[in-house]
Amino acid sequence: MANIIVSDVCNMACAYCFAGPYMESARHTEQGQFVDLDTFARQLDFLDRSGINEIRLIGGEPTLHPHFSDLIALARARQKHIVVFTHGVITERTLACLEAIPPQDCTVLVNTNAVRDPSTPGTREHLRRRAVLERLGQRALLGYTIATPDAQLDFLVPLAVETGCQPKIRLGLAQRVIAGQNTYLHPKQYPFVGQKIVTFAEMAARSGLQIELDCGFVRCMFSEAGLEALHAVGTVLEWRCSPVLDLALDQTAMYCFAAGGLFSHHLDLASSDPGAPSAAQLRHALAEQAAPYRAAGIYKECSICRFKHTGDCSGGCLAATFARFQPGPSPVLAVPADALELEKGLPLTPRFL
Amino acid sequence: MNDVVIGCPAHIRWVRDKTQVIIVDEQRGESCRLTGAEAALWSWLWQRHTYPQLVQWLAALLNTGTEQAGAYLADRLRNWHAAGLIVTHPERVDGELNG
Ligand code: SF4
Repeated sequence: MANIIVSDVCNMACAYCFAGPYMESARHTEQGQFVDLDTFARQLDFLDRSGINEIRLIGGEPTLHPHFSDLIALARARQKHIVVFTHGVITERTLACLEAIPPQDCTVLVNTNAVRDPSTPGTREHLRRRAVLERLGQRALLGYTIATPDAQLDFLVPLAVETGCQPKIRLGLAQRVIAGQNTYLHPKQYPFVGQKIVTFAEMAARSGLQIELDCGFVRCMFSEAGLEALHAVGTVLEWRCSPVLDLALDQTAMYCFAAGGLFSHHLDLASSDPGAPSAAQLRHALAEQAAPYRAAGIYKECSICRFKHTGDCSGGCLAATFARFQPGPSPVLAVPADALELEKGLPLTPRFL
Repeated sequence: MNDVVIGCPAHIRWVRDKTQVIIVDEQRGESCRLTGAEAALWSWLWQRHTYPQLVQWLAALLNTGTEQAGAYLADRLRNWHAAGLIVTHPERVDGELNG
């Protein structure tokens, strides 16, 4: 699968949004606010060549694209399975477009805590979203981003049951973005939230709903009893951070949106070079670029944690890990020249991994 | 005595973990770990202490005399310099960095 950023605008104002800095920086570049249909078609060519059949339309808010239905038609013509990441407060026209896709060919991941103004309860948004969910039925999957420890999850269960959407709820953790200031859940708050998720998962299971955990969850945010309880209600437990490629408006491929283009590569979509890297090769190369940071994790303890050594836990979100690193300042220390004896040219002793 | 000023090149980033320091060399795409006294020294290095202060602290940490601590410090700096983890700056030291 791959993400395609089709819009760098949004009409909501979620405080935790990890695309905010991207949208902000994109506004100051020459590219438009929306992917043009030609570029989109070439991105699909690239994904075809790479053997990728699932595309995820993201943004900003992807449904604000003025030719959203054309994007869908282009993707459908290539038999792509489409996932749309949306706040769900969408127009009748967009809704009709999504309703026309058979449920098995698309998933509309509806972010249920998107609001226009974070200081209001967002009642109007919730009402519209509910109506949209009812119409989308099995195409819709509820999503909720946990940005604060006091997040209220309980409303999701009746919402999923009453609207007839998929019997799953996808939970995400608001991650810190590198190039901006968003509201995010501090890793110190994870264990508290972990306990809350266990209680919620058990409650959801009683209504026949399963919990899906997005990337960035870590093993140690749950107690052993909590892990057992999650397992018992069928939650898939993966402590991973393995970003899919994000194809951006400026024709770069990014690895980890929250890392804000730190790990990115320009994509020459016009190239007919048969030796050009595939999406999998590109993703691998970008993962390699990020790999040195994986020696650490989101906590001070990660680098000596047995679950990290065995590969059971990635050590949390790459962007959050990167954010822990600091640059060594320069210049900083006056050293007697004879102490350095630079001409000696001693061999390297630090053990590079 | 001539002094040289050292600092970190822009492509070096580091983090202090529970029992070690992890240093990433973005240019080489590699990371390395420092443990024990090396890790402590690396952290102190960037806190704008003076060279004689570092020698004193190392002597306390290693439980040795200042001569051995000075030798240890010089040895570490040479190695880190050779590994590209620190660089020297061309300017002479006359001001606030002068220990
Ligand atoms: S690797 Fe880090 S985040 Fe994962 S379980 Fe260990 S300490 Fe927790």
